Amino acid sequence: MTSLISPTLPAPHDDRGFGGLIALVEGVEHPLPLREVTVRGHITGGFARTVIEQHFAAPEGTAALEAVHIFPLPPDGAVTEVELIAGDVVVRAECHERKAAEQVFEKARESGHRAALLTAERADVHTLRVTNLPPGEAIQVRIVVIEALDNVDGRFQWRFPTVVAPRFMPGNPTGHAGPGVAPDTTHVPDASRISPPLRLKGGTTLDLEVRVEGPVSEVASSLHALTVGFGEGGVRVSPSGDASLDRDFVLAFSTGDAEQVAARAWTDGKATAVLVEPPTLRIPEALPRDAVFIVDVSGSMGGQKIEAARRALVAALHGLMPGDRFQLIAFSSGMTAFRAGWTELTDQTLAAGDRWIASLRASGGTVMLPPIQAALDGATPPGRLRTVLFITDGQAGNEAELVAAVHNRRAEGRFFTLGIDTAVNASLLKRLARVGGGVAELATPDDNIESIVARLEARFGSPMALNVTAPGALEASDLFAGRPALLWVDGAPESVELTGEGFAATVTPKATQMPLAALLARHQIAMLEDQIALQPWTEEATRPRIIELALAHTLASRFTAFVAVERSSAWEGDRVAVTQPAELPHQWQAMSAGAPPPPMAMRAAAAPSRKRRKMAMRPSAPPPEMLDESSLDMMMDLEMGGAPPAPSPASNARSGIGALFGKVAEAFSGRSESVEAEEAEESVAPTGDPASRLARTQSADGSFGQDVARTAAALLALVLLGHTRRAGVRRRTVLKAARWLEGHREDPLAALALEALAEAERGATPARVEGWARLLSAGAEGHALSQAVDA
Amino acid sequence: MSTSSLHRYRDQAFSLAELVQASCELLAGHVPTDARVSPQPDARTVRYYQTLGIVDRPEMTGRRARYGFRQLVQVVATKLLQGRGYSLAQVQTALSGRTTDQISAAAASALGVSLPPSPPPAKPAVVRPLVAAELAPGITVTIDPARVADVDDLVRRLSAVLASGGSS
Repeated sequence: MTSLISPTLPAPHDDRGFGGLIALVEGVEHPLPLREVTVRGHITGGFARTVIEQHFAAPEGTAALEAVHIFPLPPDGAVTEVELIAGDVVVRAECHERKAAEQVFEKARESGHRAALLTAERADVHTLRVTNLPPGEAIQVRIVVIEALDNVDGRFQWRFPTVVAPRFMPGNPTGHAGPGVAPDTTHVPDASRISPPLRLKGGTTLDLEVRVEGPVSEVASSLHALTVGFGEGGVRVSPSGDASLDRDFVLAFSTGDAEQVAARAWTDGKATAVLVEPPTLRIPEALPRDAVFIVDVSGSMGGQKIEAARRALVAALHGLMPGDRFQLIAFSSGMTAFRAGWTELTDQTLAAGDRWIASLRASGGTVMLPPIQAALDGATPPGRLRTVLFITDGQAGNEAELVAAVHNRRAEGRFFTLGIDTAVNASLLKRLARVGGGVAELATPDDNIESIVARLEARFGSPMALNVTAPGALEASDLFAGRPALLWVDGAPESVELTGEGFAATVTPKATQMPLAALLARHQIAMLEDQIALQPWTEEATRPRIIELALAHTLASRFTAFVAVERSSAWEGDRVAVTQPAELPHQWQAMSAGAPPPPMAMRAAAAPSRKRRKMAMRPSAPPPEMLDESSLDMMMDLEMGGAPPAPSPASNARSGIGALFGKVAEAFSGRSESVEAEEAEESVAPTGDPASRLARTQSADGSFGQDVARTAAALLALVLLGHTRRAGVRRRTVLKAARWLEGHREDPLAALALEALAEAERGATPARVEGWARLLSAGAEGHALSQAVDA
Repeated sequence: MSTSSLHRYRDQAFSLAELVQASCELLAGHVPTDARVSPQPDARTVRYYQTLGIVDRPEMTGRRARYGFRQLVQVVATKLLQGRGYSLAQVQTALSGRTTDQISAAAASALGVSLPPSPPPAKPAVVRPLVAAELAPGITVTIDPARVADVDDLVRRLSAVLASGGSS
């Protein structure tokens, strides 16, 4: 390289000549095209109609702006209307086949007209282009989306995404067709369409308000502090303080009308939606399970997300029943397994699994296909049920091949997903669960992950009813505990007769203003798009069907798009194109996404390297006293009032039974020995509510330390905290303990604890159960617990 | 230094390596070595600028990336600004929406080289209002009055054609 320095040049620190450059930095107030996003949601009867307004403005200067915004919309939502608003002119966009719409937009651009084009790249990722915006002028695009809300454990959930997170794009580069920053690859041919540039600092303001109609209670959001206003016939909810486009807005609320109802139905006169509740909870008689747990330890999982994932994994592992087998798989650029093949559930393997999980660290790429294939590999023996739990943020671009991989092996097991992120790829996780015969659970890193896993365990592999359907329904659904299913029925019958294995009900639809026919069409399109992902060769035959549906209902889809042209003026001059940069999702670490490694430079996963070192230092198995440490913590929390107990009637009884708990705590702590500091550091710190902590100390066989008295005391503690075999998030812990105690019924303490449980399940008041507890602590002379308490 | 040191790149296409080399040549001695940034860009830096949208994506010829003058001045201006202590976040907003002329003129001045202005546009940039005329119920056309001498006359004649059923 030749040096071009000449003595006549100004010294580097001289200000001469820099005026122009510095003016570019100092002179700009609102440099990026997207100035503000306003979102107005209206929720009624399990549906949401959301109006999104994106405000763009061109910087002062000499060139017109052409802006590209790559942004997410709710994955199951139907875009039904788009408008271009320039001053007082409102132009309603037309829905055309994508190619035709693009041609209209191109022509408008060449003619100098202001125009907007909305295309759907994925079920969730959309691209909005606006062009010929003269310098200093502003324009708005209004988008209307309709969707059905998720319903989880009796509460509706509205999750509104605001940012497309950086996704890992496996494969080798092939080109760069789209406006994004990632090259297209052999595995993600549209990577350049779903990869906005990364915004380093500052954010576009989000002005969001949602109105929820009807009686509403328990309004909560896990990622935003809320301002809730109570008004006529509902509530108005908005984030308190400034909100930015860097995380999902997650609203959960209860409508209080789900109890004792087998199903709810709505109709707009053309289509009918039926929300079917799973049958009243019963104790599931599950087959012994072959459980595979897959955890994403890629770089994007760093920080709080990997901590949440580790906790989820430990909780799920401890939720296994005696007789179950398991596999643990971690993946990033490569994958690594806890042990080859199936591991039997014993106290030793549980402890070793805990240590392996604690050693997981996040780094590297997100190569999801091999672990999914490994999890579903081989035949599942008759009499056993394989369940896969896939824990990830879902940030990979090769969605179609992942969905196909799960679908192709769906006969071997049920595929459940647990998404953990502030801007989760909900679309992928829901699709994987849908084709895999499971359900998707979406969590944020700040959620109480143990409780979420506990609720998930209740649905694991044991649907409450199978193949529930109705005349005219698009499909049949399996019903999992706590997860009502939405059935779509073409037409508007007076009443809908639901049938299935273990299910029968009749429901009369209520009238709604929501355009359900459009939502039904959107659902049909999603099914057809899944089919293309599963069988790419059917695309030729399927595409016309999608186009027909989308055009008939004016919907955005892979093959249709909205275009609006404002023809009252024409720009003559230069245009400058800007792709709006997107913020890094909240809590993401810049290291993980700042400069994604090129696909060629994949490194082998380094996850459990720390484990090897630790194992070398500590060749012996961990002492069983480990189990007691967290139970002591749990008792301390109760005594100190540190962690709030799970909401339950029993929480009121806390002070009244304090003395008993004190004795139980002493009994437990008397058995624990000092725990090595390094081991404590290595393990996942137990968190969550006391019941979750107690659950962690349960032995693989369901007992607590193979001791009748301790197991009986633990069971009673769980009952007092509001958990039974039918209710509460620790159902499985209670079930396991109860089964173990059944085998020791000859012991009066076991019998008493089981009777207390049965009493609670029949609806005994806390005071009554407390009476049983007193009996337990005081009764049976010479008994282990009494001895321990007296000692 | 030749006054055309920036100009000579104007119509050139670069591979990534060539873009890096040209940037380094232009920047040599202009970014203080005691600055917190590397005074010279490398391929990784350019790719990172691309993920930030500071450098426009290249044109693809098959699988080969071709960069142009715009990307060259984007890289040079970024390094110059970083050398003056501005953060990449500031650069990201400062260069967004700027024309190639704006960036290259500022960069040329900072490099102490003159840059012949790009040929002025044939017509100054303007927004021209168009006239909307309803020819018949439901049929509206937009007409550019700058290109049509007598708009009213044209509308009359078009309306007549429509009224006669299209057979003029």
